[in-house]
Amino acid sequence: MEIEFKNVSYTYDSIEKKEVLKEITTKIIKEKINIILGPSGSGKTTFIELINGLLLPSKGKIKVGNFIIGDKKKIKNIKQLRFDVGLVFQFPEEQFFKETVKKEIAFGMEYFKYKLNVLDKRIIDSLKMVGLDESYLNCNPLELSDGEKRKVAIASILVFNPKVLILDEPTVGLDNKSRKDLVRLILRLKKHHKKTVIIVSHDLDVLYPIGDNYIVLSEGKLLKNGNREEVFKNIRLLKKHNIVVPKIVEFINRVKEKKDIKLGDEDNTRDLMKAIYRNV
Amino acid sequence: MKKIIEIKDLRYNYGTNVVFNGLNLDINKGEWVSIVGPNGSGKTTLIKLILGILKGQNHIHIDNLKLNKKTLMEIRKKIGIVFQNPDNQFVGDTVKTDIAFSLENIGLDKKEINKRVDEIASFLKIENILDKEPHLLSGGEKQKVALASALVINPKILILDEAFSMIDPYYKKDILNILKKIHRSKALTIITITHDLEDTLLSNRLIILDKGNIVIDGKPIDVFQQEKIIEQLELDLPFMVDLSLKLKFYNLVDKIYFSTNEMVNHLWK
Repeated sequence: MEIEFKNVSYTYDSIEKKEVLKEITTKIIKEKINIILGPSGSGKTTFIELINGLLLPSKGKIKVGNFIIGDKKKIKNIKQLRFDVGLVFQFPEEQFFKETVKKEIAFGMEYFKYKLNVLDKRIIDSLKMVGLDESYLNCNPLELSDGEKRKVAIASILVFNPKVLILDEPTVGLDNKSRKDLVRLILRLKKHHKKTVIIVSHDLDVLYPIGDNYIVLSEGKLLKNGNREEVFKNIRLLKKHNIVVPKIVEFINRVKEKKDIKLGDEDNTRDLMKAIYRNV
Repeated sequence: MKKIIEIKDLRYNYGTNVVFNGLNLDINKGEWVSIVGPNGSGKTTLIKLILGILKGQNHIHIDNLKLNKKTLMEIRKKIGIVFQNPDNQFVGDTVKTDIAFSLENIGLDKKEINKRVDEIASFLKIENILDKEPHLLSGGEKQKVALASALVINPKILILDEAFSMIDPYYKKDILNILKKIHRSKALTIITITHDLEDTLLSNRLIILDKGNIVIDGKPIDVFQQEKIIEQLELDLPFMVDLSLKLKFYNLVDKIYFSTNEMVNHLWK
């Protein structure tokens, strides 16, 4: 699903009016992994909440497929928008409250009375999409491991069959094994299920290798936008805005300052080691 | 070296689930210990047992006091703790009252409380947010406030339980630098619990916990070279350590480098 921001601003309507997003014009690339970066308070959360209509822009327009989200008018068919754009919040498992995985995943669909005739199949399909099999259906979600809980939470959104999946800090609180597992899951959702993925995360060390498009926000403005090479070319600018770059990018930049050699987009230590081997 | 934490034959079950089945662990005064392990390895349970929040079969001594009902409050005054989610630990309606709260609990007078709060705020460079409401702060600022509340009581032991995992890496660096300073100047005993070996580089002891057992306990640099264990637990080595070890295999470097500059200067003289 194409998503386009055109001159989007958002101002909080509180006592001290605060413009948290300022004239953002950018695109989310369809069926790719889009990563939103920025220090705390840069407007990342507002950015994603605008995409599924949880917030409405104060100025400008957002096109999400055929939906137009603009000014303060009501969005037509907002229910369908929410089905098309699935949002997984931070620590989603904290909101579990059903006694089985099956009921937990079914809950949202039952609530919206959404195509109930296909419910069972949908639940199994979405579990499979996150790499869990049918044996999990009758498990108590609270007794699963942290990584599994996170997957069930994602499945409970995938069950709506969204075209866009937004993940807010998906790796937070997980151990290394589960983080890597989740990265593989995100890649599968893109490749095999053609999902447009949008991730907000601080965890660049694991997510950097999989991003296709980066949107960097700072103080509500669009600081940079593009693929890995375009965005991480100028790390001074990123650092100036308190954005910590992945260690491998930092290293490659340091090498290039010292010597004009061919190190490029290596995103893991094995490739980097080989590149150094060829260049010393 | 003087022991500050002594744990002997610690046993704890969670329902039918055995978390600890005879754990022994001593921590010396002034050490900075990192405890790493996968989810479910018992890290947080261990901290709760030390704080007396959970009760197991054990002999735990903290700063020469045996942990029991009578000594519990005395022991808690010696320990400052910062948890993963700062939202769960605020009690005051401003940053200032929040930091002051733990001092009021130990019965200090107003003048002394203000003095201590100002001191810690200036040390952590959070003077500018003292009058704000805690829940309006950014995640990184919140965690600095939580650290201030933990430090203001002048604890003998500071525990950070996954305290970095939710915050911006920029603030994480900032907080790690603060810890480095405190550790050096006050000889405070620090325990950091983390998933990320990158966070353990500053500590002088690294313990890897798995299923309630200490798998390995040593200097971080020695632990990093236990390839089998690191691989088995699917841990990621810190970037510079990982790269150094790979380059060492091809004889491109002869030791582990922690600084990018040093390594680059060695490779391209």
